[in-house]
Formats: sequence, structure tokens, C-alpha cells
Amino acid sequence: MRFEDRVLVWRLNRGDATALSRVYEKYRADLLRLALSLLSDRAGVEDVVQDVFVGFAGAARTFRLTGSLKSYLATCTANAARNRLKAAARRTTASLAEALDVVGTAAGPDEWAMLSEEFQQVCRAMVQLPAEQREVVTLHLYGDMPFREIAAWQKTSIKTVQSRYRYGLDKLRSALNGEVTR
Amino acid sequence: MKTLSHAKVTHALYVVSIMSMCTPALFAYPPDNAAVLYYQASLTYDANYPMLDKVTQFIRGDIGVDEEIEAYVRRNARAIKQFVDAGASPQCDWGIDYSEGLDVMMPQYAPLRNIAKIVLAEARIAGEAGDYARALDLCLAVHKAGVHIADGGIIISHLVAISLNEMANQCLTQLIPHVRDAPDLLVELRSLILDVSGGIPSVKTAINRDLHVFGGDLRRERVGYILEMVTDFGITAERARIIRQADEAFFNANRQYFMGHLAAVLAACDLPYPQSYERLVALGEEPALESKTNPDAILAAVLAPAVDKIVCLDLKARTHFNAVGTALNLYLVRARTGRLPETLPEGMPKDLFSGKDFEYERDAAGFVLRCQAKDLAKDQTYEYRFTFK
Amino acid sequence: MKRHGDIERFLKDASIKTCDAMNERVRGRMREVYASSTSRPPNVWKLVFESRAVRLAAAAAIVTGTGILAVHLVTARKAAPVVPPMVAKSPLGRTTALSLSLAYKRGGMEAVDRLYEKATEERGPGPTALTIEELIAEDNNL
Repeated sequence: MRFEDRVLVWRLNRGDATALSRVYEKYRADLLRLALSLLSDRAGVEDVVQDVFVGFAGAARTFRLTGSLKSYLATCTANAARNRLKAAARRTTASLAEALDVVGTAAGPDEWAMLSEEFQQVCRAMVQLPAEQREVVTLHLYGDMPFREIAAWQKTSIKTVQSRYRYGLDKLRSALNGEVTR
Repeated sequence: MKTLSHAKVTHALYVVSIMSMCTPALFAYPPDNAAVLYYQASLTYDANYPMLDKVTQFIRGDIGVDEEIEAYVRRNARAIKQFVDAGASPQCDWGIDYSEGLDVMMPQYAPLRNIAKIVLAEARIAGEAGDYARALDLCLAVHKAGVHIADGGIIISHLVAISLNEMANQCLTQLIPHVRDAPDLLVELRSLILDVSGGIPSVKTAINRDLHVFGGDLRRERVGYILEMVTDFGITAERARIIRQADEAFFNANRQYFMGHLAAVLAACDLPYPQSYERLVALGEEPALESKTNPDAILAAVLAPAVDKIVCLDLKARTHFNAVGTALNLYLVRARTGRLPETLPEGMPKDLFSGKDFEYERDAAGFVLRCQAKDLAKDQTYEYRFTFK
Repeated sequence: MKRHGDIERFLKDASIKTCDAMNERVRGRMREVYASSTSRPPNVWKLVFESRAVRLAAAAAIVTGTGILAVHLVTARKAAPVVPPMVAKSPLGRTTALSLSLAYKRGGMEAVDRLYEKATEERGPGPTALTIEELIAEDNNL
């Protein structure tokens, strides 16, 4: 809802801190889903999303919204996730053990996100995708980013992004069907 | 083999280069933003108020067409074309910067309402000349303009939009009988009407936007503008003095009150119609009463919209759409079976005032669809007559 | 076998819940950072006022200014409230969301129409059918 975002940013520019809570409420679940789909370590997910929100709060007084706020926050999350992956020099495909660690059902007392059975399946399937496909699928589905913007972010063509999305969904379909029927 | 002369080659090169220069410009038309065309139409139409009054009477059916009206409509042919082209575009960004808050400018609505009247005048003229396809097309263009105006707008946008829809539906009611024997056209029209009526956002969306746009801007630094506006529209000297000398705390408290008031209004909109209306009337009176003892309610008393009336107008416009939809179904039954059904078929669009089917009555001249509950704001029960003329 | 559309829906519908304590912690951190973001970049004035001579001059200016202000306040017949400058009202300035909204509240759509009519009258007529030829003729003083 771009209109509401525009008003929220306007309120933040004018010093109205209550608008922060609304931004947080609105996008917390999607950003967490996005980060959970991109990263393998649970602590990393929480750090990334928290950093994105806190970073936004720090810049909110002078922030200028040019497109969609959700896309902006999703891009920040994906950038932070990418940096974290690079820093850790992880493999693009995590092992099943790592995946299971991410999606463990038992959330600790202070764990931010508690995943539904379906989302645990999604995470297990996501780690089997190459990083580029995972990025495209999650940014498009959880960040509501159009392919054009994802293409600019990945520095590639729209056609490539569309192919990555299609292949990504195909792989997810096989993985999820396998898991569902298991 | 014949060789081309130098002059001919030069001529051909000229033609090719002119075509290559013009082609991009041609492909750029029509623009993919309907608002650009609406603004063009607003700049080019002839804002002749005595003529517009006459056109209004003509589209209401109070007077017949005359040469003066026909000439006026012809004079506005370009604006009509721009308005109709705009209706065909799915995208419409008005470029309104709502972050300007209270004094966000909306100068485009009056010209658009006036052009809509001229478009409907042409629709009626085309209908009388037997060009029903053109006439219906023009009515639908007005409906689409309504959807474009309401989309993303505040309460005033919503009101302008539904006023356009009302005018277009009145015109359609007169035109539909002429195509009563063409089932294909009736089916097409039914689906277009469904599309348009489904495209109008809920009045709650508009109220919610007022809450943010106006509520968020009730601040001390806006006192000059607020005073100017409320003085123009009548406020006691004492109230004006309180507002002029108010500090930030006064504005904070008034902002909270205003937003809380509109939040209560939004909640009341979810109730069934009679209860919703009763609650909205009570809520409408609340700020004025409360402001006598509570200064936090002063700005809401002046600025809060009259939502009870707005909700009724919205219901009236949507009910009219439903009546037109129901009538199209009945005409379709008649076109296929040769006669109108004895009772209203199942699953017809409802009268939104009662939440029930329309009361349906046939007679020799046609049929009437009657609401089963009153518009409580106007204390009036609406009925829609469709004829076989 | 799930189809593309089904997979997309499945992915979108797969939900998570969040823990209230963590939510509050993040919101609190956001508020803190937002509140502290009021601090401006290094202030040029602060740097200037580090000089002793400038501080003395400023103190003198403040004393003089306060004196003038006191005289002004005493002589003023009535303290005028501080009202931010108003924007000059242009004819189209009447067609703001607020004025239209108030007009509707007082007199319905007719009042809105009258407001517009008044604004248009004050602004004067616009071009009705200005063609490119007319514009060129005007530019060339023809």
C-alpha cells in the first residue's frame, strides 16, 4: 500500500516516532521470511532484519521515498544477507543439517520468529536452490519486488531474472512435492 | 533496367527520415497515464458556465436538445476525445502530493465534472440519433473517469467520483431500453458495469486517507492556514482566538482527538446500514458538543467530515449500479425468452440500503426496481424505472 | 503435482509468528536510534563561537537585542500572537483538499461546484482550443 507508506515516511520526516511502529508491524513478517529464506543461520537472520529496521529508523528523518518502501526494505535485507554470506564465505547451498538448524521448531525463549510447519518446508526447499534463484524467488514473493527492480539489483537482464524465477519455482515444486509426499 | 533519378532518391530519403522521426511520437500516444489526458481535456474544454447549466438540465432530462447545446458539444469535441481516451487507459496517476497535507491542491475535479457533463450530453445526442454503441461508450468513459478519480483519493475525490457514476448511471438508464433486443450488447454491458462498479474503492479507504492526510497535519506550524480556512467557512471569534494562541500541546491533543474520531467513524462503517447510520450521526454531532467543554475537540468540530451523509451517498451510488446490473439481467431474460420474468431471478445484485433484493414490479411500460429500505440521510426510498420505449 | 501458481501461493501463505518480547526490543531500539538521529552534523556556529572575542561580541548583541525587545514589548499596545506567515491566497489556492472538504460539509456538491466556479472566475478563462499555428503566430507577433 504505497499511499500509506508515503504518509508514514512523511510523518517520520516530521518527527513522529509512532510511525516507526507501523512500519515495523507492516513489514516485520515479510522481512523475516525473506531473510530466513536467504540465510542459513538463525542468529544471522535476526541480526540482519534488526539491522535493517534500526538502520531505517536512523535514516528516517531525512529518508526520501522514491518507490515502494517494502521493496526498499527488502533490498536492504537482501544486501545485508548477501554481505553476511560473503563474509562467512559460505557455500551457496547449505547442507541439510544446516537447513534443519535454521528451521528448528523449538524456538528459544528469545527467538524472534516461530515458523509454521509450511514455512519450515519452504526453508528446507530454499536451501537447495542456487543463491541467485533463491534471491529472485524470495525478493519477488516476499519483497513484492518487480522483476525489473530485481534485475537492476542483480545487475542482469529481466529475461535472466524471469528464467531464474521459473527454474527456482520448478525446483521448489519438486522439492516440496517430494517433502509433502514423503 | 531503369535507374532511379537523383531527385527521386533524395525524395525517398526525406520521406524515410521524416517517418523515422515521427514514428516514436506516434507510438507514444495515447500516454499510458490517463491523468495526462484528463489534464489536457481540463485545459482545452470551454468552461462556459451558462452553457454548462443548460447541459446539466439536458442530461437530467429537464429540457430537450437544441442547436446551442449541439454546437457547444461540437465545440468541445477535442476535450471529449481526450476524456474518452483517458478512460481507456488502466493507469492513472494524478500526481497529487498528499504529503502537503491540509492544503494539497485539487483543481482538476471541477473541470472533470464539467467535461463529464458534456460527454454525457453527447451520449444523449448520440442515443437520440440511434448511435447507441457510441452513446454507451461515452457513459462508460464517465464511469471510468469516476474509478480513476476515486482510486487513491481522499473523501472529496470519492464524492466527485460517485457524482460522476451517478450521472452516468442516470444516462445509462435512459439508453439501455434502446438496446434491449441485443443480448450480446447487454451481456457486454453487464460485464463492463460489473468491472466499473468493482473498481470503485470502498468509502472507508477514502476516510482512512483523510485521517492520515488531514489528521497528520493538524500542527502548530499550520495554524495560519487552518485559521484562514476555518474563518472562510465560519467559526466564532472566540474559537479563532483559542486556535490562534494555541500551543503545541493543544495541537497534539486535537490531532489525537481528530484521528480517534475518524477511527471511531471507520469502525462504525462496518455495522449494518441502519445501525451504522445511527452511530455515524451520533459521532458526527460528538465533536461539536464535546468542544463546548473540551478544547481537544475544537478542530475536529470544524474539520471532521460529515461521514453520515457521505456513507449514504456512497450506498446510493453503489445501489444505483446494482439496479442497473439487475435491469440488464432482466432485459437479457426478456431478449432471450420474449418476456420479463414474473419474479426477480435468484442471485441478483442487492439493494444495499436493506441488504435484500430489489422489490420488482412489472407494468405495461416496463418495470420498476425499488429499494426495500430508506436512505436515512434523505428520508427517501429510491426506485429505478426502466422502460421499453 | 503442484503447479507454478500453487507453489507461489504455498510460499506466500507459509507463515511465521514473532515473539512479543523480541518485537518490543527491536521497536525500542528503533525508537532510540530515531530519537538520537535528531543530532545534526557539526554546527558551524558552535565552531565560530569557540573564539573568545566572538563570544563577547555575541553577549553584547544579546544584551542590546534584549533591551530593544523589552522596549518593543512595553510599547506594544497588545501582544500579538505569533502566527506563522500565511501563504497568499491565489484563486486556485481555494481548491485545496481542506477548503473543498469544508465546502462540501457546508453545502454539499453544489457548494464544491460554486467554490470551483469562483476560483475559475478569479483566475480568468483558460485556453479553449489553442492550436500550434496560433502559438507560433503569437510567438512571432503575427
